[in-house]
Amino acid sequence: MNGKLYISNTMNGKLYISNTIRSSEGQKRAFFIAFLGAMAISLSIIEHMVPKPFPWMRIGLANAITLYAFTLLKPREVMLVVLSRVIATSILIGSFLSITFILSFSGALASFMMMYLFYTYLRKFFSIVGISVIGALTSNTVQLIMVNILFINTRLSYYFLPFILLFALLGGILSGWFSRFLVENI
Amino acid sequence: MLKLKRNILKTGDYILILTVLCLIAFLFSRFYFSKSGARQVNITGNSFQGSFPGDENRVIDVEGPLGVTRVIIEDGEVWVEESPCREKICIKMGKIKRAGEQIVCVPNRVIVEIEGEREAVDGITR
Repeated sequence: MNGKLYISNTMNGKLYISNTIRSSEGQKRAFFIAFLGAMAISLSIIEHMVPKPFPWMRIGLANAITLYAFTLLKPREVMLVVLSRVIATSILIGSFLSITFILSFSGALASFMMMYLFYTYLRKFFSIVGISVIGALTSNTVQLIMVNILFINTRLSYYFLPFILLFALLGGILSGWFSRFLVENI
Repeated sequence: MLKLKRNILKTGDYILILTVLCLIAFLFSRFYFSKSGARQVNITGNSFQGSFPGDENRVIDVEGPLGVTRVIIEDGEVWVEESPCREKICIKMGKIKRAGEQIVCVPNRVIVEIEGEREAVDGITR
C-alpha cells in the first residue's frame, strides 16, 4: 500500500499505471477520472482567482484537461470529469446552485457535447486546438443564451456576442495549445 | 521532453478560425458600425398629428398654444430647434435617434416620438 503511482500514456493509447499493489482496469480508470478532475478543479480555481474586467474573459484552462481526458478515457468518463469539475469548483468557490453555477454548468455540458461530437466524428479534419476552440465558442455562446433566456430577456445583450466570441477564440487557441502540450508530453 | 511536434494544425482548424474571425467581423460591423437611425417619427401637437419617415431631411413647424415649435429631422436624428416655451427643456433634450425615445414639450403640448419597441436599457447591475 505504500508504493508510488506511476502514470503513463503508452503508445497505443491504453492507460498504464504501475503500482506495487495490483490494480484492475476499472481501478485505473477511476484513478484517472479523479486525477484529471482534481487537475481541472485546481486550474479553474486558479483562473477564478485571477482578476479580470469581465467574468467571461477566461482562458478556460480546465477545458484543456477535458480535451486531454478525451484522449485517455471513454466519453462517459470524460463527462464524469467535467461534471465533478463544475460541481466541486462551484462548491469550493461558494457559488453552488447560484446563477454563476447554472451558467457554468450549462456551458460546460454544451461544450462537452460539441467537443465529444467533433472528437469522435470529425477528428480527421480538426486537431486538438480546433476542438478546443469549438468547445470555448460553444460554452460562451450557450452561457450568453442562458443569460438571455433566464434573466435579462432583451436582444440588447447580443451586442456582447462579438466580444465574447473573440475572447473565446483566443482562449480556445491558448487552452488548445496547452492540452496539446499535455497530450504530447505526459 | 517538453517538445511539440510541428504542423499539428489541420485544415479544419484554419477554416474554423477564419470562419470565426469573419463572423466576429460581421457581428462587429452589424452591431457597432451600422447607421441605425430613426425609422418613423410621430409628432403629436395640440391640433396636429403627423408621421414622418426618419430618413428624409425636413423641418416641421408644429402649432401649439404658445406658438410654433420647430422640429428638425436630419440624417436619422430628430431634435427640437426652436420652442416658445419658458424652460426650453425640449431643446435641452438634444438629439434622439433610437426606437422608443421621446422629446416632450409640456407647455406647448408637443410630443415627438420615434416609433418602435424601446431597445436601450437604462442600466445593468450585477
